[in-house]
Amino acid sequence: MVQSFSPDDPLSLTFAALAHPVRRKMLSLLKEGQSSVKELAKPFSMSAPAITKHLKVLEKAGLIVRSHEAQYRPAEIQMKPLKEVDKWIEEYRQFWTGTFNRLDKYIDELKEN
Amino acid sequence: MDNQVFTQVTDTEIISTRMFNATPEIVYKCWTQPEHFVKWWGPDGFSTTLKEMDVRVGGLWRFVMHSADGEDFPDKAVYEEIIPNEKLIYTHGWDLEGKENETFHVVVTFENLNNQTKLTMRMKFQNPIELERVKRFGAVKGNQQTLNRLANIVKEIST
Repeated sequence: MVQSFSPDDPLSLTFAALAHPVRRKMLSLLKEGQSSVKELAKPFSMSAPAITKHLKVLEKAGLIVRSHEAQYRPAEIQMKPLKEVDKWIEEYRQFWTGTFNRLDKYIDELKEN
Repeated sequence: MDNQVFTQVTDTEIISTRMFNATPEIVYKCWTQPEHFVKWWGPDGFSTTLKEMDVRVGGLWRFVMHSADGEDFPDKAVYEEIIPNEKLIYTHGWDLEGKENETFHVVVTFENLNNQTKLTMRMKFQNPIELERVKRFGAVKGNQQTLNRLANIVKEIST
């Protein structure tokens, strides 16, 4: 394979952070612009501490930053980790597309002989 | 032509499927017999040196992939489940001496569809994802989007 899988490498952190539907929903909301914890909590029936916990996971993975300027500390989405995931998936896809094409050709050779 | 690789990404797995115009017996043989395996593994430009291929439960599968630009990728896998011509399960990681080496699970299935083979390769991540899933917040209303495809979400969010 072309990528290592240490659990605390940035990519693993990103995948782990994206593993939860609530956090993905939060990111989708943040696409529209920065948002307070209160606003982010609206679509979910969960406690403020639970919401904060999810935000922390996103923050640790670098998927959001939270401003210190305002008291309600609005969160803002960060694109870089998502682009890394996208790039990795694309590499993976290319690796196996190429490999399977070779297998396909090799099978043809086997059949001819 | 049905030889496209379809890749989907869920919360825990990357799943690729592809059709092959041969029976599962032939495709399986290509995966599990040294003389065949080295002929195709890796994309164009790669070559592979096989070190060990002991296709038994607990057996080792070690090889080095050489990329076109001369980089080496030493791989080590341990077979976990083997059903000839149907299924291979192995854990896969780097073959690095003395290094703690986090691995991931791979499940390969060979399915006979009218004497063609539908190959499915599932790569399952071993990181906090699974734990995270079964742990808390199971009660989020109507939010069991198990079919949520990470790739789509990433695409959607990042474009």
